[in-house]
Amino acid sequence: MNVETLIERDSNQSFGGSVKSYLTRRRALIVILALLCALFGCAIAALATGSEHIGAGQLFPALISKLTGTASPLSREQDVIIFSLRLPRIGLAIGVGAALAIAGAAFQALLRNPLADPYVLGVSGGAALGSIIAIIFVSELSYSRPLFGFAGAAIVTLIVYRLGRREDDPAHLVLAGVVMSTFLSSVIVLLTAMADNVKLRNITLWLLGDLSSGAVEGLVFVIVAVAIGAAVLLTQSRALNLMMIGERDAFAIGVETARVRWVVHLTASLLTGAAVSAGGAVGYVGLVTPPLVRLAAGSDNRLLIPAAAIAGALMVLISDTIARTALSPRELPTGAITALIGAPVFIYLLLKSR
Amino acid sequence: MLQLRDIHFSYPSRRPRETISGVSLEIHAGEMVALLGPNGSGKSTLLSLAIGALKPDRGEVLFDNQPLAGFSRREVAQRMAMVALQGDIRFPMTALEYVLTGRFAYTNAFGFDSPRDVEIAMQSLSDTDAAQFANRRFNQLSSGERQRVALARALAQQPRLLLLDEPTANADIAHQLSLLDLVQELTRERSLGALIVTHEINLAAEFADRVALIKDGRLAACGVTRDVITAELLSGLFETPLFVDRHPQSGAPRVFWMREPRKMVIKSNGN
Amino acid sequence: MPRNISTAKSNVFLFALAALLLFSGCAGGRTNVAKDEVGGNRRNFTDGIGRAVSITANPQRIISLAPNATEILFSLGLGDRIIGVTSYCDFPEAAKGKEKVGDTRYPNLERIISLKPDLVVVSTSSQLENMTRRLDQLAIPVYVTNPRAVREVVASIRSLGEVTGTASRAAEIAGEMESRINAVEQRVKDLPKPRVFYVLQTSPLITAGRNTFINDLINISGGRSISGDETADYPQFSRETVVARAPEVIVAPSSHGSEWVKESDLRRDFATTPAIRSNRIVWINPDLVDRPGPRIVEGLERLAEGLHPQKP
Repeated sequence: MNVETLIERDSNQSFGGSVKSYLTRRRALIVILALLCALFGCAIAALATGSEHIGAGQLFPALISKLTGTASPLSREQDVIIFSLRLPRIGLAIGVGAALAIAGAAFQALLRNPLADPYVLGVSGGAALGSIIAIIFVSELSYSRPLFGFAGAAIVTLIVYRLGRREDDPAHLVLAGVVMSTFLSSVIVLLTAMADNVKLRNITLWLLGDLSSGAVEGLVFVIVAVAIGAAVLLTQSRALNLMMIGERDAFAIGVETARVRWVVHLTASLLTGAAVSAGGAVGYVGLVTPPLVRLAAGSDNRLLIPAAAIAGALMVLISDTIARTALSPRELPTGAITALIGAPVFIYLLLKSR
Repeated sequence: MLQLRDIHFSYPSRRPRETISGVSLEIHAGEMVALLGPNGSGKSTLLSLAIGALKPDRGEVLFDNQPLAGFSRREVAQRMAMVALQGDIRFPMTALEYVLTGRFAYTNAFGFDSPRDVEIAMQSLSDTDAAQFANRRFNQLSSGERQRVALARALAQQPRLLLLDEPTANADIAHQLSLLDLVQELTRERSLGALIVTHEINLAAEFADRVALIKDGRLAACGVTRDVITAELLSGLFETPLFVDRHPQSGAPRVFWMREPRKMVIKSNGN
Repeated sequence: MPRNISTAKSNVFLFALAALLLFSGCAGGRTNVAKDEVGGNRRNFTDGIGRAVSITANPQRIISLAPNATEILFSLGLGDRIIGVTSYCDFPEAAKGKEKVGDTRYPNLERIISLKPDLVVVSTSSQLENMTRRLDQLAIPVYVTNPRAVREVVASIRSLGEVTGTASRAAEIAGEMESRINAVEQRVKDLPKPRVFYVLQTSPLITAGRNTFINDLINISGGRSISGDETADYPQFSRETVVARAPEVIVAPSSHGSEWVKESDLRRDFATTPAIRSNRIVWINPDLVDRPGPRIVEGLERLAEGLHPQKP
């Protein structure tokens, strides 16, 4: 029934004029490949960058030796720095960025609102509160943080969705999210006021995003969440395209809107919960990367979801690299850098959309 | 083809007042049925019930003698298509992309649009005289142009029944005529059925095979156009004096009004 | 016309201003009179941050707003005269039974006032400038201690002894502390200084900078902190740098902070450092190294023992 043939972008059809305004498989692949190359390049560069200088000239032989199993030219310390400290952290940055970007794209499609983002909607706050509760009360279980984070994210998503569903007013949703976000921050502040001084500092910094802990569980959870989340959302991406027009229309065209809503809601919460519990509340990723990708490559979610994931990974990777090298050997919270980058980009997007 | 049997429905917020109180209606292949009635009589609600967006409290909706509830959404979309007023879309989308979404019911979840899908979409745009908009952003189109693109999307679904909710609302007279002309052609040549909710009584009278009059959730009348478009029935429906004569060319009933002359009031100047 | 009105307006303004100043001066004066009536014998001091304070001799109703101040005051034998402490004041045991006036960050002003203290001791590590100013305005004497290094702690004990009329007891304690400090310095004088990494917490990684007590303690006990050049007091630090600087001893707080310094994280991240390879992690009670009080010499001795273990 479905003939998957390639269509040239500017081919002339029998109706005269070109039909280049919809998504072809080829265009999707080209864009994704280009982004992947950029990500790979940045990852290598990030591997070579850090508070301790290790030249690129030493890095490549080391990588090759690791792959071929021969002796590494690096000293033991350098080996630890690159493969035990930087590599997992880069992996975490990519995972967190991808997760938050995908969640943002999903929320924007589901809520028909280009301003939707896990941070702005308070979903990150919910995940953070869940994780903090896990830290304070259930810290023995190693998977308690991402689980509680997911639960917190899911609950907040539900509330914000109920509150902000008015189609005619996108700002209404953002308002609901901001209110939710500030409320959750107050609760978190309350919890930290009751905790002693050491815990206070820990929680405050983590709320701004911290990818420095080498905890493997967090990294694993994020990667798994991204894999599952991206796969699930890709299967729903056509349905999401339709729901972006309007739920009533989508329903008429044949979309099981209620089921799609639930699936997307849970998936976006899972992604946010995993990302925030592993790396703290990093903001602006979901707000900024999907719109940028949309400007360049259209709103079709089949391309947007993977492309935004890679773009989000790039954003967090670059921010995290800056965070750990700008004031070396001191480290800055990654979330502060994503905000510094993200806010001006968001303003640019706002101006451009006028 | 489509059967509504003794439908009762009330919106949760307006219970116990019923919006639809016992409506039974049939649409057959190859016929155009117009649904007329005053504001708030339940016309749009009936369309939503027909397509399955709302579930009746009592009664059932049948398609080809099978309950609608037994079909998946995709199956429904392959049989019935809805055309309704379209506001702004919040994301940048071209008209062609918009029409291509109508092919959803025929492709798998991740499938890219096949050349056949594109062909059907372009043909639909061409049928509704909107092919020149294919690469224009939907939001840049005027309201009337959007209506045509929305009809094209419905056609791209290759349905057997069209449900149209005020399809001529923002179109100029030329496009009103061409749109309804197209729908009539489709019903004649492709044996589609069409149920049209409209306020344009004369257009309904000209094009529809049958007309249903609905008031306060009940059918006041339903039958062949010439039997239903009468001065008596319409005046009662709209509670305003209306008159009917014949269109000089087609012979279809034509509605007109006669306004009461205003009484002149002369103001005295204190004399 | 306009000029007359504006002149009248400014006259009214000046008059109001003068009245305001007059009344506030009267209010101040009245309080001064009241102070003299209550106290009798008042002495003037300059406190740890250079403020001039006037306190009665032998204050009988003392409130401490910092755990270190509480420890110092108890060690000076002032236990009976202490009428209020913070909820964090947990040493000595007797301090726990005292009335609480709040925590170190947000003490309760009303509670403090209602206890009618004649001396309130504040430590700058609590950062209570606002509270200090309010107490000043209410003419409650506030003495601020501000030791920045170990030896300054000894000096602050002597000062508090002066202020509270327990100078001889203070001299005893200070003398003992000084001799213990000197003993440590003597012992480690010629020993090689190991590179030390102090971990406040692991997630994120926080260490101590130049102007902290722990840095001073490390220096005196014959070590060199690898983060000793950092200007920030408790900066978030790069793990790479720790690995590269190869510390030979890791010092971490035990008890209160133990959940925040996960030993497993230390062993995993710093596996290649000499400290982990030779299993030299010194766990130390944070109260012994964070509180500028009499127990800081105990912290010093434990730290010195950790850095330079004495052969039995």
